[in-house]
Amino acid sequence: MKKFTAFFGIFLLIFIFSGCSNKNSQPISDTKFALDTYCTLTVYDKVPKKVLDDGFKAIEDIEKKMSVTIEDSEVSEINKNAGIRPVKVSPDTFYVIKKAIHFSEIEKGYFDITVGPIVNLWNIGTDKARVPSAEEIKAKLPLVNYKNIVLDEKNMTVMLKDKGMSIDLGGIAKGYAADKVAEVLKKEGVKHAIINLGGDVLTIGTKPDGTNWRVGIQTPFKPRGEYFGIVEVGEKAVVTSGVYERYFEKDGKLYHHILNPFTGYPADNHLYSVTIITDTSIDGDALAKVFVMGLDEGMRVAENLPGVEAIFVTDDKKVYITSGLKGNFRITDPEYTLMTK
Amino acid sequence: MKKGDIFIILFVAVLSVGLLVFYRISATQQYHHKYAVIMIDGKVYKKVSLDDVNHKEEIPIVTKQGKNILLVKNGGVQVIHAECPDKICMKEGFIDKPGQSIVCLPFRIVVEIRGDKSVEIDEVTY
Amino acid sequence: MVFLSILVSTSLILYIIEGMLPVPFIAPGAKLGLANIITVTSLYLFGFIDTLIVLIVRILLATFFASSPSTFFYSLGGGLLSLVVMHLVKNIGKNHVSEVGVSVSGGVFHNIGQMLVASAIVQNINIMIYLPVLMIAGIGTGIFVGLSSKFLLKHWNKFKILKY
Repeated sequence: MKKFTAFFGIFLLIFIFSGCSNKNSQPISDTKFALDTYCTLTVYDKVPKKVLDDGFKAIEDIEKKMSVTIEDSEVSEINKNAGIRPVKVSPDTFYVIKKAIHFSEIEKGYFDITVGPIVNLWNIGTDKARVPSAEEIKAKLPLVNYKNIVLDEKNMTVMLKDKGMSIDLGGIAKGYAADKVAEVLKKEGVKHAIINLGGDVLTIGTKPDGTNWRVGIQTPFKPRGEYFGIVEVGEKAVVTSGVYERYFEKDGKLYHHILNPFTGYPADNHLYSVTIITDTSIDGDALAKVFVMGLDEGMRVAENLPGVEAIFVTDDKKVYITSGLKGNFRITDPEYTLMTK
Repeated sequence: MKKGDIFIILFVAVLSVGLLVFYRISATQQYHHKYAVIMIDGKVYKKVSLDDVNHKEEIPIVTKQGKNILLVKNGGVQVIHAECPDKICMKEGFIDKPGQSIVCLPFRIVVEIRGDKSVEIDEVTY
Repeated sequence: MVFLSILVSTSLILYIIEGMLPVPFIAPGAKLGLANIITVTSLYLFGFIDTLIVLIVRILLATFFASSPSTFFYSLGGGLLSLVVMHLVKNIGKNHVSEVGVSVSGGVFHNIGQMLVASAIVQNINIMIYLPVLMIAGIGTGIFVGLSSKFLLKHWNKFKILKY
């Protein structure tokens, strides 16, 4: 009997101590509201907290230049002077608009920052969201055309050709901001970090132990943070566009925030979400809009771009991935099935 | 009662209390991620994250023999409706700690709460 | 043979009565095990083989009368394991162990057997987490059953009038 109790005593002690032996250095992290969303910076190196603040400063700087809700932002200035005169902008804004036009070409116009007038009709994501009439949309559609953005590289000016045109950098500014934050953090000696701007993830380096980051992909229409699959990446941007992010329902129909610039209506193509994995976040953000192109064409675009991988999720819970992701992506939710094609 | 009786009783008592303490300790460990796994016939039927304590959801578990309904709330689960004859699964009440489970023998359903000690993911993109 | 039938019917009645008693919920499958009184008594009176017959017949009949078919294997697993262990404890313990010790080990292993069958049915070993609670419950019911059997055996002589 004594032996027996002694045995159990030892058994218990082992368990009690094994519970507290795993020490790991705590990362520093902070969250702020900017760019219309929650931005979280997590740094795994020993750096002063000031580094995070510098990162957030970079985000706020971009917001000041590119937000459409800030009255005196450069983008608001461009929109106000549509059809009137060119507006001189900072190199940041000029670069983002140039990149946006570049990706509009790659995505055959399905990604278009001049979709502003249509966005303002729908107001999805605000409390003023509504279904506009077909006439309203028809009236505004001619204003949507990225080819009517006039860039002057020498004078750093941007002009919208037609009156009433407006640009919305919502689909690309977040990505650029993340790249900027990464630049700032790296300059301050950060080697391992995760930048998360409203769900757009950009990693710096690898995990402190040298292994790849594991990024979960949001399960559509489930509480935020629940994921159906995990992708393993090194220093990459992982950006997702999903219908579940901002939407409203009217008369049993779901209207989400990813608008098709050709129809003026939310893209209706049985996709739930598209996740893009690229080197820079701005590319990822802009490319995530291949969502609008649908599964087949979107997949083709993603496959043909070097250094770009993609994960498409359809509304029947099937998951399609580009060939380069095989072995780096796995599904953890049995409701979702990985398709090979 | 004889000496042997007392020995047997003590032996079992110590063993089960030991096991209980062991379970307690392993259940109070810190988990980064907690989720419920619903299994039918040993096969995973559904997984639900329990990390969000504000999340409320009713999950119907449909088997060949009948349907039970699982309520997800406060970071735990509970069977609130059972078509099985004994309804023991409903009596098992609310569970929210990794390692706990609800069993419905007639329908061969097991709902188990599991925790991931190591962080399975570093970030979620949405 | 007649007496075995009496034992079977008695245990069956006990089993059904138990089904009517409200039992506070402790863990799935935890109950008083009144029918085990007969199993223990029978083991002392007629030995292993006859008790085995009593047990199996009782479980078969109980399945028809009182419970759902899914609990058949459940009861059988618990019952058989419990009987084997009681037989062993009784023979090994000889003079050192009384009915109480035998029935406690029986009660505990009855629950272990049930859990084993249950985890085989649902194909999940993790439900064994209920085991310690069930073991403690087994001690309690085991003592109760053991004392009842002791009482029954003590008054055994009165039954002798029955002349089986």
